Amino acid sequence: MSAAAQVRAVAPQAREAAAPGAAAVPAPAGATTAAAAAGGARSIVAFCCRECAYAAADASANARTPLPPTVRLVLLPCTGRVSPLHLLSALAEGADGVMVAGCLEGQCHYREGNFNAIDRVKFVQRLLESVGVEPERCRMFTMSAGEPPKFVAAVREMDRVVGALPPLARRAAGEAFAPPAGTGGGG
Amino acid sequence: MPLTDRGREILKRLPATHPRSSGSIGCEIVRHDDLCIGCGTCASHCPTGASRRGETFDVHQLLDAPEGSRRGELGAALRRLMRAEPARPIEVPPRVTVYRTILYEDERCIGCGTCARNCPVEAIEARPPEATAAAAVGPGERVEAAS
Repeated sequence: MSAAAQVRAVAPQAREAAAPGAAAVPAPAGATTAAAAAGGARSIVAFCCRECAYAAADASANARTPLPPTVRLVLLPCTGRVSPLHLLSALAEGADGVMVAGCLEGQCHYREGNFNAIDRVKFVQRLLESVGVEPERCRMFTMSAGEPPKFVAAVREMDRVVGALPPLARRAAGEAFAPPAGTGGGG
Repeated sequence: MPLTDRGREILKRLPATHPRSSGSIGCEIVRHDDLCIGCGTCASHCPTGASRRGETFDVHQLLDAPEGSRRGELGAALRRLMRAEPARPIEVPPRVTVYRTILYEDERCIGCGTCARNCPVEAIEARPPEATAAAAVGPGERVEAAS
């Protein structure tokens, strides 16, 4: 069994833990308390670069470092592949937070992919902010393949931040937007 | 700048609906903002910089984009999350090239129609002015494909 397959094996655990009433897998104490404090589990989608973040995730899984059960990993060849549509549709379809984990600045395997990703994440943050959603729900992290602890720390940080936020409210596809009564259109 | 004799000869052979590129023709540029996908092709082809990519982006361009388009998909996702109407256009980071408002300056446009020819979704129309088209073709000459 390859090391990558072991990382993927984290996902079923996460799914069980996210389901209401299921027994939670042992998770870092900080993560569970934060999620519990705000009520209910959150889900985070992590878009990981194959060259660095996914390799770091792989190494951390080999070292049996537990990741927060809320996180789902998505493998990308390079974070330059990530588009605002990926990030936004992940949020619209059920994620409470999305993170993009890529190479250190200037160390992209494809030269500039992570710079593109950084700007796209910034763009999505501004989009979210302009429609009144917390921009912290979308974040970019950079690390090298040799820094599994940094990856784990990034995921835990994301889990903590998103866990402290209320669950992301979303309406059904096609449902019209009605501004909440009482707000005078400002802001 | 008047057309040369050779230019007139070439224009005679073109159907009247063909977009004409000479700077001297001065087409009327009609832009259909609802069809624009903001790819910026017009901006990169514009010889005078009349069309260019702006630094900001109006979020309503996503929210009001037609269904099925790439912008429409993004707008639909955003609509599901939306808690407030976007108040002002957002600033676009430099490496995000697609999601920008395309600016157009009438003053600088020479009506060459390059943008219309390169637009992938035909959101820009170059209408040759009636008088110029008639003069270029000349009286009594029949132009094929003219409806």
